[in-house]
Amino acid sequence: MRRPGLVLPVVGLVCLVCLVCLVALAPVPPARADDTMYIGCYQMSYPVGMTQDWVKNESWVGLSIEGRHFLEPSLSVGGLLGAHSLYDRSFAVTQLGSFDVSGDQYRNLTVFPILGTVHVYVGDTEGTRLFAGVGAGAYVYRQLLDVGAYSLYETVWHVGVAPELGVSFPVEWNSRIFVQGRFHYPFRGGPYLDGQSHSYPFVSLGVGFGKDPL
Amino acid sequence: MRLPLVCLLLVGFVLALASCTPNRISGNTSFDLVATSYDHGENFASGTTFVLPDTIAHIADGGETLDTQYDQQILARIRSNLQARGYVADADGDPVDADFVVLAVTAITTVDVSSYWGAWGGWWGGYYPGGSYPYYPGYGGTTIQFTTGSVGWGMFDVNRRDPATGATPVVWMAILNGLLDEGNVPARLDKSIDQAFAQSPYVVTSPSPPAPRP
Repeated sequence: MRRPGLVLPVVGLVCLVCLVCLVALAPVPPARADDTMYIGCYQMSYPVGMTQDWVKNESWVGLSIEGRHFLEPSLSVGGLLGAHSLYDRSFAVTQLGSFDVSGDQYRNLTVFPILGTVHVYVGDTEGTRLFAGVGAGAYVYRQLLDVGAYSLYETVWHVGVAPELGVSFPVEWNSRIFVQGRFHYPFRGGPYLDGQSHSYPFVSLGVGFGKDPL
Repeated sequence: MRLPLVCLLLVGFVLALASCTPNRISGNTSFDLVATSYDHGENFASGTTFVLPDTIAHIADGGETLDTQYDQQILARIRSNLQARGYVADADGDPVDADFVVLAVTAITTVDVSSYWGAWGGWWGGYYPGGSYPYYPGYGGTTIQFTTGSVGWGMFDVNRRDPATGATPVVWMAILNGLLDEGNVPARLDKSIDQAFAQSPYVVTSPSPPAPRP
């Protein structure tokens, strides 16, 4: 299999480092330990755009963990790690290099977002809060094709962005439940199994919990 | 208002139960694949006659013996598909007089499919006669090897033969691969050969759509 190029991973890491530096250099009072919220989310994913050329099914397999450091009650910066598995069964003819291949196929895209995030919030800190945010960083895509008695895969790094909208509700134990939608848009990268470069965007809907620091 | 946490956990549990991947393996035909490739510069309408020798070359690992009982069925199916595309079998079978020569080959290969288990959730209830040993549900990390059979053919354009080297280019090739089995091999062979032609609409003597295969 081809090895992923180094350019995109390096750019992604640079983006992450920049975001981390922004957080570190932000002119805010010294942070308290409870200024940081950790959120775990169950994630559903829906392929959109070119992604539907490879997988058409919605995915019920995904999760994310996220840290948000509150610079002030209405602004946070942080980071996110996620895993989303989109899959499909297909009998369509697939291009693999110079070959057209058909058969009973299991197609999978496993995506690992590694993002720095910024969020803004509206609403009372003790009540329901709406938030909007954006993530930027690296995406690791692993494309898998099982066809016939063979299994082929390719790993591709992307730089990408992920705008997000959500709402959080206070629940028991000084925690919050989060409901959020995120549009993952990786910039074009490759090569994938067909030898071409692609951008495989998707939308994720997450439900999760976080300890309320405020 | 703070929502009862137990209710939210129940919702999460239901979502987790829904997190399942599709089961792809539904029988031996799940392992059948058809791969085709062609010379994009070839004009398949440049000739109409073909020669298909009545023997098939056989390739097997040391000590293995290939079953030849399907050879005539394979050749007949290839021949009828070619005729359905407008090609005419050369009367005297002399490759020098024909526009195309089609040579077929069969082979046996051993495949390691340990990589399936991660993708398919690790369950396989079937036992395939070609396998070295069966899979035992519940035991992770099992590696299984089984034997597959391949049928392939190449279409050579005699009119493009290089007089200096004597080399004749392959302008179209097809490879069929599947598990060796005692079951419905003839039907699987016919279906796969037809599929090779179906996904190769450019193999035709005229630009009009190919006629239905008799």
